[in-house]
Amino acid sequence: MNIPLIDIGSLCHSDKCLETYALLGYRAACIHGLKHKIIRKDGFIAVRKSIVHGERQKELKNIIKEEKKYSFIISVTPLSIEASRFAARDGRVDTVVLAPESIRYIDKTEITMLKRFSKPLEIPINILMSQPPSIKAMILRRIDLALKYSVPIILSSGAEEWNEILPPISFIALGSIILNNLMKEVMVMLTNYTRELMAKNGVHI
Amino acid sequence: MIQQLILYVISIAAITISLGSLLFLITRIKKIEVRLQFIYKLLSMKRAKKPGRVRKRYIVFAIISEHDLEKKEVEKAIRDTWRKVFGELSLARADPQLIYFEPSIQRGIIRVRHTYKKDCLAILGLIHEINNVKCILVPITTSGTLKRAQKKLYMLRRDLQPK
Repeated sequence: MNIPLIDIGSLCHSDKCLETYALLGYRAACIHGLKHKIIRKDGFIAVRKSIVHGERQKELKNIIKEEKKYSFIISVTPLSIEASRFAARDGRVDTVVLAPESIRYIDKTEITMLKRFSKPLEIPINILMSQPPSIKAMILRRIDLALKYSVPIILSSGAEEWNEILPPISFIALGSIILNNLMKEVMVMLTNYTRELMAKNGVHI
Repeated sequence: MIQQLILYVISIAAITISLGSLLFLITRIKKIEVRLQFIYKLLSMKRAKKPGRVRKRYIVFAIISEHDLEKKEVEKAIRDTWRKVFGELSLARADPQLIYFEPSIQRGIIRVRHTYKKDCLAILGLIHEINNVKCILVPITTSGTLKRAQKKLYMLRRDLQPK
């Protein structure tokens, strides 16, 4: 089965990684730290992405202003309440990352704000799977809250090396288990939402 | 005259009995209704589902790795990862077995209980390293019979085979 999957969050930018993405059947990937802004190779598109960490709104504004020139996708890992609220309402921010360091700042108000501004919540799978059970439970509680408020959720691999890239069918199965959802719905999350994000930023697949 | 009187008494007695039974029914009607509802519920209640026939699924997968891997190593990695992620009981219920492995093309077939197919697909994706050898286990297809799975093992996704 060939699924046109898009990995919205990867940290692996070597040639081997790009080859693996193409081999596994991915249509596109947003990679943090990519040398070029966009790379097209055998029908596969790699796009540069920036993951921004910040505490202050002013600091975040300056970083995003700079990063937007060189990257298509901007993700924010908020490190304070102020940063998380700013990330939810700023139009240049594409996703808000749910990581262990940002978990305390993604609360009910943040989720309602994400819903109001229709901003997706990004969940890196490898970070989720590598956490101790207490942190995992906290992340899963946030996911349940986001699902309850029907906030768009995007899963990303968060791969740092070529062997951490998930095959598309495994990605969907794992997402279905984590989100307690049907495989079809998870497939929509991993294909349509990501495609919309990329199209919004001018990358046509 | 006496006959008429007897008939009169009997008819009065019959009327009183019927009226009494009617009154009894009216007073008890609620209780009877509740009992009838209970019987109806008992009859319509679904029985606990019997465990169905144990059906199997055969998942064909390919390995992308730096070095060739052996059957035992792969099976151990699958079982260990399953235990770590889903637990011992799930592993015992699903009973994943690497029933066929072709080392020359680095492909294999896992047999798993049909209700645990999704879990097995997820587990294959979560294996990143086997005995310090970096690898990716790519599920290719799922089949209901071993014969069809073996046929697909050699046919599908030849681009994933080691050169």
